[in-house]
Amino acid sequence: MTDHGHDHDHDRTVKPMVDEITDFEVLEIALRELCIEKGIFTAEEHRRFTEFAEQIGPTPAAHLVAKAWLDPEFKKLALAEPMTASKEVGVDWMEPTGFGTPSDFTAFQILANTPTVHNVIVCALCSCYPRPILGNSPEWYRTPNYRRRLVRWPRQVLAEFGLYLPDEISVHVQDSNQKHRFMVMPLRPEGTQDWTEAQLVEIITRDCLIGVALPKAGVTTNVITDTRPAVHPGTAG
Amino acid sequence: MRGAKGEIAAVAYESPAAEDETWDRPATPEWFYVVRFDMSELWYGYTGTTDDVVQTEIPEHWLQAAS
Repeated sequence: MTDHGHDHDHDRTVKPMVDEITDFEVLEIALRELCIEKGIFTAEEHRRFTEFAEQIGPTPAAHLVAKAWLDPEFKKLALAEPMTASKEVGVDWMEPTGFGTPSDFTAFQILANTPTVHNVIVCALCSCYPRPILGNSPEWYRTPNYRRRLVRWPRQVLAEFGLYLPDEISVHVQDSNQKHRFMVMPLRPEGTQDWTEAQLVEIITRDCLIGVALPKAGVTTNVITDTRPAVHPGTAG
Repeated sequence: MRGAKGEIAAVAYESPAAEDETWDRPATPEWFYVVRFDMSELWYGYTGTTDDVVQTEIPEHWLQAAS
């Protein structure tokens, strides 16, 4: 339509970006479209499922740990019958999505820390994670950096997360490389006397349930959100 | 872990081995075991304590009784 008159400078124009799709994205699209075509699920069902999967979080697991701290009988139940305990916080491992898809991953186990044992979970093989009760795994959990190094140099990797364990505490790395799924039940920290379940849940963060952090009174998030205003040298002063 | 000596921490469940299930090979269910390894024995030059362990899950056909 419009003639390419030179009212812009080619030397200062950004070249068109190339958007490359990965093989795995192609595979996902192909598989999803094939399933929809064959009537295995509808596009809308897929969207609802994706929305569901992306909003699961670690809150049920935090409630499970808080309840265990407040009630020794519940703690015994959680360790002996983790699936039953999970149901009490709203997570059904037999039907984790509520969409009628039965689960193959029903071998769930809760690893309780003791004064001499610190548990931490990993999947060295791929990055399996107890999604029904913890939600999606953090990006770092999926990296070879974490998966390969935690089973070989656990104390060093934990130190990189800011967790320094004395020698009196032994480290138990649990690899969930088959059908078992695990979460960690940390010990109740000091300074939480007379706290309610809601208060305790606030300090049991996702990283504590993986085992790369310990719950601390006053620490309610894994992320540092305090920011400072940006400095603009051109306009400052 | 190949050739390493460990201790059975728990008997897990019966399942066809993942490598057979995936490729649709004939796979009879076998028992899976959670096996515990002493990190200080498993890894050369391990710098942690002698009580540190790694536990992983292994189907029976990969296990052999220790002499």
